[in-house]
Amino acid sequence: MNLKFYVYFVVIFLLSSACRKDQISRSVTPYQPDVPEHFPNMPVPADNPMTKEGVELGRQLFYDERLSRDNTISCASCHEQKYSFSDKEKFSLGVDGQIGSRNSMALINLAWQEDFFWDGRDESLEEQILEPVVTPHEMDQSWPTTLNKLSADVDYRNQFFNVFGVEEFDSTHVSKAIAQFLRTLISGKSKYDVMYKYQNSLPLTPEEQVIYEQITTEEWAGMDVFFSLSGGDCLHCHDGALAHVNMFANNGLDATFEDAGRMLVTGNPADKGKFKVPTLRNIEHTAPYMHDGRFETLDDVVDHYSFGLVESPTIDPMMEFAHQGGVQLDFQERELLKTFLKTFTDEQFLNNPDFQDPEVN
Amino acid sequence: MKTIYLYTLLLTAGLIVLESCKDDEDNTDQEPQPMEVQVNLVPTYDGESFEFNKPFTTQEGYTIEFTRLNVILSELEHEGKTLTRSGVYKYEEHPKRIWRGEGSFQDFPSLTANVGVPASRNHEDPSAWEDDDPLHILNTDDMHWGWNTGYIFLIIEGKADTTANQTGENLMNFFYHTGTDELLKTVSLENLNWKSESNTLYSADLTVDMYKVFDGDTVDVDIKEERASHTMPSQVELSDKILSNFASALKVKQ
Repeated sequence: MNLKFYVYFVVIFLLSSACRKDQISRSVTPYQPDVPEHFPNMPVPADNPMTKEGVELGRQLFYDERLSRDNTISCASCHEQKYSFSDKEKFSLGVDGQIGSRNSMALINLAWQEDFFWDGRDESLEEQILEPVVTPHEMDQSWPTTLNKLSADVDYRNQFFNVFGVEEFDSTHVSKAIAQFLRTLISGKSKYDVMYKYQNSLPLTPEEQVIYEQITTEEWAGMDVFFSLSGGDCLHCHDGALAHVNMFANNGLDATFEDAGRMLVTGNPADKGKFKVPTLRNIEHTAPYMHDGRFETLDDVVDHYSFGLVESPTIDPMMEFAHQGGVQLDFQERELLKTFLKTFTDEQFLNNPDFQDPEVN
Repeated sequence: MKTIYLYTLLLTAGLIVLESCKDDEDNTDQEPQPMEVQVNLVPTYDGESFEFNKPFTTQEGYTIEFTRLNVILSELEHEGKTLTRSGVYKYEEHPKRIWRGEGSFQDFPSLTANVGVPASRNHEDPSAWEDDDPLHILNTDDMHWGWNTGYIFLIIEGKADTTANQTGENLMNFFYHTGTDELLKTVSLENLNWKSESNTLYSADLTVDMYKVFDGDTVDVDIKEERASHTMPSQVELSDKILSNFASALKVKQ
């Protein structure tokens, strides 16, 4: 009897302890991002595959003000959907009204970007997300405090367990979840996308065909100005399906630099005054412009490239008309260029309910 | 009988435990690693080591500095065997490597290659290549003008002081963005010097003397007057000189 009891006990113990990880009940569904056909495949890091549950958790965290010291600031405070996930401030306001020194960048098509922040100091979304929480002029809260606050929410604990299989989540899990959400912020349904597809003989969907028929002569003419080497000469930095290249450039804003930009990261004087080339998608809604938000309107921007370029030792070679102050567009060309820039507006992106605050939506 | 049954049950349970955790065990039957080769490019300048923003002197005595050097090589082949369809070199990202991938170095004692992309592939959708294809738009990035004009084969950017007094205060930008189907160049790279980097990796170095891009074997580039090219119709001649000189200066490093 004793032996029988002993054997049964051992059997039950062994079976119950066999690879506990396989016995945890979790339920996640792979997330298929809605990547436009004319885009490259979306690069997703192997250690952070996207799931529907992870994206939803990331969305909640993105809008959660508990990430800040006084529970007043969320990621969305400086990255509002209606402004294409930027804000209207020259420099965003953090906790206690503290002010940063750079303009809030629009969050669009981040999955295809390789460097983050204006100076590119982080090379992954997951890294980038860790910074604003602890930055004094942004959320100003340590990660241990942040995790304590979030851990007090049983719903978060359950979601982190479900998404990542961890009973005690840490900052990397928070950043991974937010990164999953940010990778869903895809803009590829603007007039520009239809124009790009049409020009390259890619088939248009019925929905795109309707958009195509709405494209005006002025918008096509503005596109010519944009891509013309003897016109706007904009294509070097804003080209292709993504309308964006991964590079840093000194675009002739200043002769001397209060903000050394990329040089602060590399230490290389040749990078002085260089900043990440931003996307032009939804540019109509992302004012003010440039790393320091110095330009309030699209007119200011177009005027800068037409007449306001300033030469300096690190100015980008592609600013080839800097010696004459810019590309010298006349009034009509500037108006056409501005008209074209508005074709980057993607109303579906700006109003996508999947991107909205889950508390509101 | 009962005892045998119980011991059998115990043994079975133990085996289940051991089997179920197999993924944590060392796998001693590992697949053999495939042989890899890497083709490198080591730029020089008239015998000097090459670096960005390092001042060199042109044949005219001008100071010249480089800030960008990117090139696409394609159809790296030997006697019908293809090492790779394309490789993209970007000094800023990787100062040596053009391409690394599976292959046997013994099959490629020499290579022919194009500087640029052949017309048959120059106008394909740059987003549609496999993600790891060097020509994929995320790998070439701004080395692509558009579907009609295709890829930029060779980018050279920098600064040069072409004034008489050479104070070093008059460095002005120059850039050459060269390409288009008509300017594709073919090079022959004889007697590659393959070196073993590990049991499974062999590498061969190519070299290009950037001095000779301006002081070519047959044509020179006058950097004072010929500072820029986007390979527009009026600039095709200059782009052709740059590409021809680059192709001539591209050699096997011994």
